[in-house]
Amino acid sequence: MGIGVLIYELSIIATTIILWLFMTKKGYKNVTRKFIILFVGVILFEIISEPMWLNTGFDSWAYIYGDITWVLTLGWVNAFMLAILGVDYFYGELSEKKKFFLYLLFISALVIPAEAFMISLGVRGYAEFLLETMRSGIVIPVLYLPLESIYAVPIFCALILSFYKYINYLVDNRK
Amino acid sequence: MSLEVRYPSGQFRSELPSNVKSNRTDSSSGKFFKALVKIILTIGAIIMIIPIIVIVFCLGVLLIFSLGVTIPILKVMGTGTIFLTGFTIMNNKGISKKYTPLLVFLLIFSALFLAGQYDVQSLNCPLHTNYNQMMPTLQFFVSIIGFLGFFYNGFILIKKSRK
Repeated sequence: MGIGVLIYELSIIATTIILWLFMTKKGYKNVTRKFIILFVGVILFEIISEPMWLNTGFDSWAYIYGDITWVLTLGWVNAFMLAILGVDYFYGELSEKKKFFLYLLFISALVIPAEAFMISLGVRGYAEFLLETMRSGIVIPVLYLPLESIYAVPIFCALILSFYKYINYLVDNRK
Repeated sequence: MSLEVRYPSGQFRSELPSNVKSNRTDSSSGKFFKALVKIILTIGAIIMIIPIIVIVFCLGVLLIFSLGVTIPILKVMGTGTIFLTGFTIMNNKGISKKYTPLLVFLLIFSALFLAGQYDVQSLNCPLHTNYNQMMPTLQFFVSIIGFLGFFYNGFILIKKSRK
C-alpha cells in the first residue's frame, strides 16, 4: 500500500503543478490567487466536516491537522479547477447561474469515482457514527460505494464553489 | 444563489483569459474535449439525481412525520434568518445584490452551527447524524470564525461602498 499511496500523493501534486503551469502559460489571470482561494475554501469545509471522514494511510508529511491532508485538499482543488476550466471553456457563453450547476455536475463526476478509488486504496473511510446512518445497503453499481456516501457531495461542492466565486468576485471588484 | 444578476459595481469575470475564445471546437482535439466534457457532465447528472431524490424524500418524511421534533430547529433557524435579514437591511438601506451570496453563506453556516445544538439522530432518516459528535470544540470555533469572517467582510465592504 505504501508505494501505491505515495504514487497517488505525488500524482495529485503533479496534477496541481501541471494545472498551474497550464493556466499561467495560457494567460489566465491571478492563477496563484485562484488556487489559494480554492485551497482555503476546501480546507475550511474539510475542517468543519473532519469528524465525518477518515483519511488514513497517507504519509506523515501529508497531514496538517488530525487526519486532514493537504494532498487530498489539493486533489479537491484540482477537481474544482478542472471543472471550472472545462465548463468555462465549452460553456462560457452561459450565465453564471447555469454554469454553477454545470460545475457541480462536472465535479460530482470526478469526485465520486475518486472517492471509490480512495476507498479501494484504503486511504479513505467513514466515521463510525456516519456508517450507522448508511443502513440502506444500496451500493452504487461499478463503484461499490454506499449510496448514502454521496449525499454530501453536492452540498459541500456548492459551498466551496460559492466561496471561490464569491471571494474572487470581491477581490476582483475591490476599489 | 442569484449569481445571474448584473451587479452595479462589477460582475463575475470569466475565468478565461481574453486571448482565449470560448467553445472553440473547430479542431479534432477541440471536438474530442467537448465530447469528453459532455460525457463527464452526463455522468455527473446521473450521480446528482440520487442525492436530490433522497434529500427531497427525506425532507418530505421529516416534515410529515417529525414536525414536532423539527419545529424548534425551524423556529431558531427562522429567527436567525429574520434577525440576519433585518440587521442587514437596517444597516444597509441600499444593500447591493452582490452581497446575496454572503447572506447565503451566513445562512448555511448558521444552519450547520444550529444543527450542532440539536441531537437529531433519533429521527430515522439517513440524512441525520449526530451533529453533536460532528462538531467538537475546534470545528465549532472554526464555524464561528468563518461566520464572523463573512460577517465582517460583508458589512465592512458595504459600509465602504456607501461612502
